[in-house]
Amino acid sequence: MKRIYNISFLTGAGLMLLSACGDKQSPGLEYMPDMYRTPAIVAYSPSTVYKDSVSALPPVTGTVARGQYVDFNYPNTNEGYEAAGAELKNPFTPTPELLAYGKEEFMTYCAHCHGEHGDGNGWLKIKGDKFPVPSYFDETHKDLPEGKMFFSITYGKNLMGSHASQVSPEDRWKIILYIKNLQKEHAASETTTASN
Amino acid sequence: MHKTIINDLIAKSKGLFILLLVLAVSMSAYAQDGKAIFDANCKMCHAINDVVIGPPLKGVDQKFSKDWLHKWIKNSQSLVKAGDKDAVAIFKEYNQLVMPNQNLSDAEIDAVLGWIHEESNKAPVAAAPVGAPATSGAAEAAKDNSTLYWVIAIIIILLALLATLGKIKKGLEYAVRDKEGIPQPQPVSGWQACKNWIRGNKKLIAVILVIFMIWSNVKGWYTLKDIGVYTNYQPEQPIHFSHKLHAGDNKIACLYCHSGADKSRHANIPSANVCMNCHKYVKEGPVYGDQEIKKIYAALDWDGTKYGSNQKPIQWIRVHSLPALAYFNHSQHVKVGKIECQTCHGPVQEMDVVKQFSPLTMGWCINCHRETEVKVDGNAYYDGIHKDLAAKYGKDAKITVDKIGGLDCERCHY
Repeated sequence: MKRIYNISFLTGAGLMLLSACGDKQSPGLEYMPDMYRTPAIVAYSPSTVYKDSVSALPPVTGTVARGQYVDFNYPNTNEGYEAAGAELKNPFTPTPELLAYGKEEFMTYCAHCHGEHGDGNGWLKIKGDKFPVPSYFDETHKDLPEGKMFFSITYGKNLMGSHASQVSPEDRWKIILYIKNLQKEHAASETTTASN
Repeated sequence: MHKTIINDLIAKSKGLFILLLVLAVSMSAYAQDGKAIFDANCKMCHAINDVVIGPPLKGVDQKFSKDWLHKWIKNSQSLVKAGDKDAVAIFKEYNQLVMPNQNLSDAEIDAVLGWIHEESNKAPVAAAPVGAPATSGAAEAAKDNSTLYWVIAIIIILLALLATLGKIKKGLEYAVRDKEGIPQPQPVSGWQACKNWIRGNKKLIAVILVIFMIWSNVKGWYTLKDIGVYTNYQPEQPIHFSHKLHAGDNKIACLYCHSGADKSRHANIPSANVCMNCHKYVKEGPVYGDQEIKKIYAALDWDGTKYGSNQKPIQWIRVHSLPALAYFNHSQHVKVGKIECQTCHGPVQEMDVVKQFSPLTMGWCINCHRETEVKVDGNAYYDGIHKDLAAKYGKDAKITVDKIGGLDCERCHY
């Protein structure tokens, strides 16, 4: 009896010591972590193998992945912008499915600044002021060539940063399909209100 | 006679007053217009004191002639092409960015220039209101600490009082015994006194020990169960990034930053260029002012106009971490399964500091696979499989993930 008493007392005290590590800053205890943690480099983990310990490396310059979109090699200059506008054409044609997909992507990546309807009234505010974003329907943008749009999403334009790392080239074209459709709808509604 | 003079005076001053009023109103209307036109046309690229895309406009009406400014605003490229020295210098300084031609009338341009002139003469506003909440937060923290200090101080004072009173009592007892001729007891050591007390209270000690034993065993059992489970792990990150502010209050889509979640195995920790999509323009936050945003600039070696070469990765601390023996793919769950991020990650849009919401244990995965229906509608991939499943389980049966192999070992372990 006395032995049971002693053993349970000791294990209890020992376990209490273990549980004392209830700290939000620490993930907690691991039993045999060799089964959990691989010596291979896990995504985003630092590694001494690489410069600055960054293991998330960009692809080697000039490599092209299979199926990668390669139709875009304009330099990030004013000339490149004009050339892209003159030469690039959207490889997709609008279908209801593609427009729905474009809308989904537009709502994720564009709408908070450019507005749900593309009028430049996004919901992001800075000290109660809306972001200075142009409307898709103003004089400079209502007939903007698709190539220039693609260029702007890829490299960024004025305050807008490059979204190339977030939106794949195919998705960029699908978003442009949707924006062109928004502009078409807006122009149609303008003419109907004007004729009324 | 007198009366007429006074009336005349009143009439005259009335006129003057009205004149002044009209002047004041028209002047403020003029400034208002200038601000409105500036907000609509110029603000995307210009500010008064800071570089946004184009140069700051403070005192621009003093630096250049009115004629030159009108030409520049209407068509800057014609000036540059004509070889105007100032125009070429600005064009080169701002990386050859073309300022779009502004379709404004001369009067409108004058209104904008007038407003810029007024704003230029105002002193730049100090960042006091933004810093204020931070300092009050610090004061609050100090206040919290001070109550704790007070409690400790009171306890120490009470203990000191108790000790003194005990000493006095002992002294008095000694004096009484001395006076009445009773022999003084042998002094007992503290340890001996303790032992004596334990001998005298065996039952109480036993009860306390039994309670402690039960409690520590129960607590220990749960501790053992928690080994390798990191629920509620909430590490402090190198930058005080708040998901509540970004995803909750500002309603930025989860996928905007974690753009890999529907495309790849990993949900992506956004690289700092994604931060800069907004923070090129947003230079102050509501809680920490520019303190935290400056850390992004430091990581990118951003000086306000361009990135430098001395860039350093931001070392975020990983919160969710599956053991290497289990394979998990985000895109499978987000794109095909159409599972909300919050199903596994909890209400991240309400968390200032992200914590692990779900246990991420195998039992938890399996449980969800048993309960979740597969979204077979509108997914051509499932057309054939769905027919087979309908034949096997009946037409109206719920097709859950476990029915299409979601419980197979090799689904996650290989």
